[in-house]
Amino acid sequence: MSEIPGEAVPADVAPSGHDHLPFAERVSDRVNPIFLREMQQAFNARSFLGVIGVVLAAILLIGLMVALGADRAFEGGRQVFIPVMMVLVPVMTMVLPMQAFNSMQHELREGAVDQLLMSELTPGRIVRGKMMAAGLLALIFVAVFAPMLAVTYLLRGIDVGTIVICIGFTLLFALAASSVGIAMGAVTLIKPLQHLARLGVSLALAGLTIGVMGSLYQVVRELSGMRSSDVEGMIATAAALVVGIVLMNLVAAAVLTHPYENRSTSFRVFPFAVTGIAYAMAWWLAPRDVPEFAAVWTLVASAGAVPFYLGALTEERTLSPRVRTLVPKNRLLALLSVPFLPGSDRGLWFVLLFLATLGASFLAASVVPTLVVPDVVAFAAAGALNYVWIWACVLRWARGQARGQRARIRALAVTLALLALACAGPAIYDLAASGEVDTWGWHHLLNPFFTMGSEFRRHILGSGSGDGRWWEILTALASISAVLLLLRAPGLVRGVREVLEASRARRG
Amino acid sequence: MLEVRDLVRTYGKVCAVDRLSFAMPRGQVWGFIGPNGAGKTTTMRIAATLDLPDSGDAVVDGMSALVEPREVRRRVGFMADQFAPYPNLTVRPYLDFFARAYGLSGRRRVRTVDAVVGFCGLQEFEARPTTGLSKGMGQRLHLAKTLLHDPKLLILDEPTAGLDPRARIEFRSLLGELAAAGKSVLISSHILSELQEACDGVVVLERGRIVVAGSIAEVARGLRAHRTVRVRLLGPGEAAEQFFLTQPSVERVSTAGSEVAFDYTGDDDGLATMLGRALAQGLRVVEFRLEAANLEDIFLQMTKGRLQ
Repeated sequence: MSEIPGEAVPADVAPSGHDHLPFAERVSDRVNPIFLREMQQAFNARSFLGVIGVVLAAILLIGLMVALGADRAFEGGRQVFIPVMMVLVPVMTMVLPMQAFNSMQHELREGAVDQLLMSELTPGRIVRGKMMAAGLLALIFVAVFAPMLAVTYLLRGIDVGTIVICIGFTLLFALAASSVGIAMGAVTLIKPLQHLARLGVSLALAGLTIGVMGSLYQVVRELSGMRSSDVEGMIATAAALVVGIVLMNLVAAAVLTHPYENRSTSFRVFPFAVTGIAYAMAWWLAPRDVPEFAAVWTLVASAGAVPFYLGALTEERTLSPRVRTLVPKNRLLALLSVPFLPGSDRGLWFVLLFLATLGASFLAASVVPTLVVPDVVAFAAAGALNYVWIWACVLRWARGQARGQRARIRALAVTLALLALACAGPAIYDLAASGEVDTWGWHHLLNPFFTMGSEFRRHILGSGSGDGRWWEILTALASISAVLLLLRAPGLVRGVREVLEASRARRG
Repeated sequence: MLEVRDLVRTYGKVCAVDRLSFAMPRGQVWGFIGPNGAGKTTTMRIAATLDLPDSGDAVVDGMSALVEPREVRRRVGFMADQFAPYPNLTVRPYLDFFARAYGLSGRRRVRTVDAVVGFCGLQEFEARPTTGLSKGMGQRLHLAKTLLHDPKLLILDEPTAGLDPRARIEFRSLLGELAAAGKSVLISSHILSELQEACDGVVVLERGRIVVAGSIAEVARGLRAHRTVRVRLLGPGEAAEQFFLTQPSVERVSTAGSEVAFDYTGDDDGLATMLGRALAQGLRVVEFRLEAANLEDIFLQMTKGRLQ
């Protein structure tokens, strides 16, 4: 036994007391501890050395095969580059992400994450540390391949740009796959999902690896100069991957956070941020097409954000004691924070604000006189906004009726059943009445798929049952939306009042 | 040091902790006992900010676990009932990692890790993989990690579960040193004899509710209206038995060889007077002692062993 730790470290030894420590130690103090630990674990693991060994053996094999076959129609560096990438890609998009998945799973076993959360580490920092480790390991693997990649350039037949783009995208895909691995590893905290998550991740990574390998093969094989549309496509793909990485990190951090903490705000800010980024990219890449983009984005984003609506609308209604302590003291800030704070009533505020933002952006973009948005696209965008609001209100109502642990699932099941009834009920009626379901009628109004689909078919294919009564349909939908807004008003007011009360309590 | 106020925590229909309140003074070691499922771990996790109550609060050193969780974490060291080692990491880097996670840096980090390694007797095991430690060494490493940020309050959830007798004795010795250094310790254990020796106070829980809380002496006083006195004499105890039967506040006198035992309901002053009278009567008293309160007695009398 030795001295008591608290006594062994005098208070005057401040954190800045760096003297006599090696440079690397001093630098490491500024690095995410999770990142450092992950790297230490990786370097100590036999599997890491094993993968490096296999990769080096594969490189040697490729070199030998190229050397032996060099006399037969040798295509230069391209012929070497493709097999090199076929070895690198699986390592980056399968081995690394599975490692990240296992690491996160281990973190959640036997309560290890509790020990981390007792320290200064936050769920976000834990996830970022793991992502940084995945990134550095990916770079290390690229470095292992670097001499071979240099040889492919020296053999001619492939330019530096192509090599850089292929490696860059492989790195980006590796990070995206690792973020999926980390998020799914966190989801395994929920026991019934453990085996499902492992199976799902394995399959998804295998699919991704095959997809990336196929795409890279195509890019390198058919290389004939880059068109501007290719550049735009690559930028959009890169942006989508980055957005996906951020979303997966949010998911992982949310799973590590206690349900009573604030897990909502990041997910409620996210769709707004993505919308902003999407509009900025549209203005940058194709300013002339912004009005059409706005209509399509309104349609895609309002429908694509369904998982976010589900999360927001099925939460507990009230603020937890911990979240109450986070409500801004300032009355105005508290009011502005309402749609972004947890609680299903505020979830409805979030849906309302997001749909309003999409609608307003669409209207603002439509003012640009460079392009006329096809009516059917505008109709679909406006229709989507109304349908989302209507069914969000139904879901919020169903959540209000359900109590207990499985209330979320019950509310969702009730809403899906009502949606199915709204879709199938009128169709069955048509079948019984006329023996066919081909003509759209007002009784199909609450069926978003048939209503919008029939107008699309009529406009694009010249067939279908839509009769061009867009304004009438939209007016009807807007009326229903307005009525539902009035019916949900007490809940909306309650959501605001609770935040203002918490704010007042914090002001003392 | 730790004040638990009207704590309520439910899991679905099960109320794990039901309006629990107690206050633990600074610099003391308190035992937290109760049958399985009594709500001990839930309460400890709430005090360590790892869980949140439905209502109520846990205040550590004046800081609310609900409102200021970060401040509370800096003051609390929580040792969970399970030790989770990391694969491919040896003891020293393991502690170094947690020191960094607690925000320690530079020379202070290095010296702190040295100190906890020394205190917990882990010097010989520094290069050993954390997954290859014995249960006893694992618990030492677990404690070492808990001490890294020099917490004022240690919350130890069944730290000696599964340890052999030697490791338990060694662990108790570490606990004694921590208590002597002024740390407040809340410790749960099923080995009551162990707590008996180490604890100044006790909180007894059953089905999420508090049964009794306070210093061991207070609890023992509240438990029984009487105290047991044992007297050992030179020679047979029959004469002494006759004497004590005639004394005020004395009940249930029994003799076994040269030892006489009786229940005493009076105060200390009366007891001292009675001893004087016994000596004056010519009784040759070798030993005269009040039986110490026994945690096992307290536990068995206070709880009914109901589970939830």
